Amino acid sequence: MALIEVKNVTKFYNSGEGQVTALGGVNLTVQKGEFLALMGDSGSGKSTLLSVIGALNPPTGGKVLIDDIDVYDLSSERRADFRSSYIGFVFQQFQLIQYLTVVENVMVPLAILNYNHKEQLEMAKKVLKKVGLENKMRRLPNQLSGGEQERVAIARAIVNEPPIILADEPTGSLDSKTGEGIMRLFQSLNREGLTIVMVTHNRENLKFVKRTVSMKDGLIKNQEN
Amino acid sequence: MRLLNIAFSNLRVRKIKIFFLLLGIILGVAIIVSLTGITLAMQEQLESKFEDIGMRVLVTPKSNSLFLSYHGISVHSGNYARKTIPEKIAHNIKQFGGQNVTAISPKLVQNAEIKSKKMLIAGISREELNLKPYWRINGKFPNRKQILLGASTAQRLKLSVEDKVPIKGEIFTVSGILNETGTVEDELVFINLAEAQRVFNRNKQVTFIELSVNDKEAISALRSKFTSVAITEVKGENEERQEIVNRFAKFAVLISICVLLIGFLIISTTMMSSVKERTREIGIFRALGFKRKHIVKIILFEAVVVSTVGGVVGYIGGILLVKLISPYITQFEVQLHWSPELGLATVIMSILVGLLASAYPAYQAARLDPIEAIRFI
Repeated sequence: MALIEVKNVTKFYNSGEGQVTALGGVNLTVQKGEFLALMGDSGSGKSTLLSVIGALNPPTGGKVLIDDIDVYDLSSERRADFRSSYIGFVFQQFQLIQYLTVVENVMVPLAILNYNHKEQLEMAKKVLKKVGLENKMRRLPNQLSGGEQERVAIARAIVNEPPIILADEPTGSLDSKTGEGIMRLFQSLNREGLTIVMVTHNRENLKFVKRTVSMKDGLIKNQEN
Repeated sequence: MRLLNIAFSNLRVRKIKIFFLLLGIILGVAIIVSLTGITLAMQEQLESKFEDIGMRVLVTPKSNSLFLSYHGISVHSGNYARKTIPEKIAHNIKQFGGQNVTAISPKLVQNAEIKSKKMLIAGISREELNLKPYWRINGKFPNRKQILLGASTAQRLKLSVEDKVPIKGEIFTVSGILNETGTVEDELVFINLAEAQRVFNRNKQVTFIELSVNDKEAISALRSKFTSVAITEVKGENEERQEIVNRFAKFAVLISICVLLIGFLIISTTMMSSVKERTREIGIFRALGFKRKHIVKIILFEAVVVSTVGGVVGYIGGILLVKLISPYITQFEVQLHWSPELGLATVIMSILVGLLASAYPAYQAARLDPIEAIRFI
């Protein structure tokens, strides 16, 4: 069964020089358990597509169905609920909250859910162990290396067990060795059943994914397995 | 991890900014509390004094055609010195009035030259102190061969405590000087009533009797009983003081409103810039599934925390400030009042202003577009 269905999605922006086409009619289907890489030059629309899939960015036209839910048919507040239960984001540049410790950062998505502190702590510890940071729980993000911060970001994305992980250039600011470690982590998460869609322009990463989709000028150019 | 924890953690890292915001709130609250505290204390004192003293009544010789403007003392009158009433009437009134008469003080007022200046000499008994609880004497109440000077008189005659001065051929010692009262009392020379009667040769006679009653009915009763004397009610300094207190209260309200407005603007501006600084962070929260109401809650939690602390500390500071500044503002002795009602009202007001001032910034934060906020594209 298709977990993600992107149907003829368009996205236009109004800039100073007139209308800019970010997505020019994209169709994409992602099956449950896939590990998909979105490739393309900057400005090709890959990050826009990721944010549209992530229920963050309403498209100008078309539909996005996730688990048969028409995402943009939901109200803005219901969409927040939807993100909370379906999507785990790993942003570019980690985007950790600098004033919260590692474990607190991981607990942020749980703050709005009905877990007590003990349950939250257990869930956070479990995922921090999974990403290999159980010994650095009380540190602040700026006391960690880039690779470690990325791991915290991944732990935060998976802590409430969403079925989908969306990652935007997760290795973009890491050296190749550290980046490879992160990709292995994603690979093992995928093997555990998570569906992952990742934006990258690093060809090195492609050996870890199951399928690659290339984009150019807001359109899907080709798909390879 | 709760939304409140996020708010607290954020406040912790922005210490400097929050410190100045807190300082502003504390200062504002302290000013309002101290103004309110002083006003309340003044009103309370006025009321208790009215209860203590009640209505002022003058008993004067009936044939005296002169209107006695203040305590029956008028410098231009030639009559008053000759007209007197027996001191015994004071005793009779006290007996007749009973509990209704709270204080009664017979006085003999005469002219005399001191240091070749014509002065008014008022013979008074210790009862006068019950009638004038606001009197503060530097020194002692005059006994035999002693005088008490009004503040202006002491300056005019260049006399201080322990100085000796001749009056009608006898040497008197200054036993004390009265603090400024802002009334005609500042211009007088006070002497023991018995001494006055002896020196001026008015045995058992007084010029008028000043008394206070706690019941208006008592005045008419006195009038019908003591027909040989004129009994008039005096619009006394209580009314004057009431006027001062009322004016001060109005001033306090005006200043408080200004301070509230300024406080509102300070909180609003700080929260606004805080929201701006945290645009990206709010975007992350939204992307992680936080609803608008969650963002609003975080911002308002912060506002409540800051304004609660500001309210409590400001209240304590304000009460201490009352103690510090009240002697310069009022002659009233203001007592330190840790009123829980005022404290509670202060904190609630502070929280309300904090919430109102943060409402718009919180609304702005909630409607931030997450995609813009984290610059996904």
